[in-house]
Amino acid sequence: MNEGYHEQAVLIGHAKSLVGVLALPEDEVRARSPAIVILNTGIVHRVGHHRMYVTMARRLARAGHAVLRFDLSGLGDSRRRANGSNPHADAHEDTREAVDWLAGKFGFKDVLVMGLCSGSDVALRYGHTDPRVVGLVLLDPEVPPTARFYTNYIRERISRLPSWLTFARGRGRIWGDVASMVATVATRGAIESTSRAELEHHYRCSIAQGIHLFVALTGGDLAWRQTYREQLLDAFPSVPFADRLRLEYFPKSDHTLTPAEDRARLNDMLEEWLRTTSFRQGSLEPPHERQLA
Amino acid sequence: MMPFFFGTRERRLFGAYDPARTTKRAARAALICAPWGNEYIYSHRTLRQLALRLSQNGFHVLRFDYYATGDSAGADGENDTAGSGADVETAWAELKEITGIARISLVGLRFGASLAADVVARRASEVEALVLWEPLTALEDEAAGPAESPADFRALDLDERAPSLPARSLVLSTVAPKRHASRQLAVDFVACEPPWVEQNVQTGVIPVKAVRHIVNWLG
Repeated sequence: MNEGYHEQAVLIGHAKSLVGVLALPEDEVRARSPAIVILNTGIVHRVGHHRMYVTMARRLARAGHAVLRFDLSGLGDSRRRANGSNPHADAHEDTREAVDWLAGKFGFKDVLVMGLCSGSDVALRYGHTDPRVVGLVLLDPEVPPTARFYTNYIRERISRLPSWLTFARGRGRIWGDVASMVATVATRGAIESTSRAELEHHYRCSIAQGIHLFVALTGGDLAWRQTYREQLLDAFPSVPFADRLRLEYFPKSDHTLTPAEDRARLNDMLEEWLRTTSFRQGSLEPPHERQLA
Repeated sequence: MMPFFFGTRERRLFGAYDPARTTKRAARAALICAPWGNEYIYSHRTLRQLALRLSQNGFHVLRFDYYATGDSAGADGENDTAGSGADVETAWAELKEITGIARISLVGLRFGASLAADVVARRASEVEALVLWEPLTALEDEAAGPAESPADFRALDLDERAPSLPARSLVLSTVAPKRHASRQLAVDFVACEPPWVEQNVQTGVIPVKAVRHIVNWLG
């Protein structure tokens, strides 16, 4: 039996083709702002790796939030869009339909969108396009490399004895990695600047719209991509994050937060952040309709 | 597909029901039993495709999550073999209730196959056909270690169940031709990528040959 929350299986979207599970606090009339939408990680269905989103959604529902986990079209149990254009555009529209559904059925005016990896990518690109979005939770979003990242990464690789042994046996990747990174630095203007500029645009627009960001980075198996907590700040020095950003780093954890204690710690942080952040004052209207689809 | 919760208030289970998409043949029903743990996550995509293909071939299909797995109620770690076996029976009853079809087919993958065989062995006369896709082996039971309840898994040994299984039973092996050679059951080998490994959620590959083999075998 569920303690402090209840769940409904739902079909949402204009074609009722998006499959989701909505977790509501036991006393849903007193649901707190914001409502939360959780997106897929890669092609894993809505429960998430290690069932992380089920546990997270239930915990946040117990804390008073309405939490919708759903499958983007073509993922999990959701059908592809009949007239789908491309996965990015479809994901954007799916997210809008999920927010519309929460707003239309329950009257939630403020919404937080959350995702890990590709899910954070969708969330970041979507957030500032919808004035109802007051918060984003980005777990391992794409973070461009920085000078400090390259220094950390190369130092760490060179300092590892196994790396040297492998190199001595003629199978080493160290110098290949170094050469690749030097080439990347040298050609960064051509390849990376598009991505960096685009990401910077999304962060800048999000901050300009007053969106609060919770960003968590892992340093375990993503050490080839990010090596320290402040990499996000260094990568986008001109974005005025200020107190709109809560930045966390899990240096030992892998990309999908396999250790249960890491997921529990993340949930602790999220709950505390939701409780202490003033997303938007007085914008939550009482839910006007309680009937589920 | 219709998502819904069923079962008791104390043990709510998540179900995904695909009704038959053709009326050209007599209605049939199939229950799909998923693996446990990460194998469940990784194989979800494949089992959904299997459900779609079966529904296109005239089956009413129910997939479900065992208690404390997937979208079903229950916290991580609250599942056990006996409870999951009871969940198979609950889902079986739900499918019969929805469709009114008395004799159903079951398809199990990995742990779901071992579990389905265990449940079916007690109710073989109510089963139209049984497909056991790469059931757990004794070797894996030992490799799983104490944290994975090997004693429970060993209790699901297929050889012991074989004499009690329905005449129309199939073991589908997709890893190696002789992997289940000692089984006292028909074994078909179809070489394809295992859908229950982590690589599957990176590549998104569906083992089409295996899915097609099951659909064709069930007819």
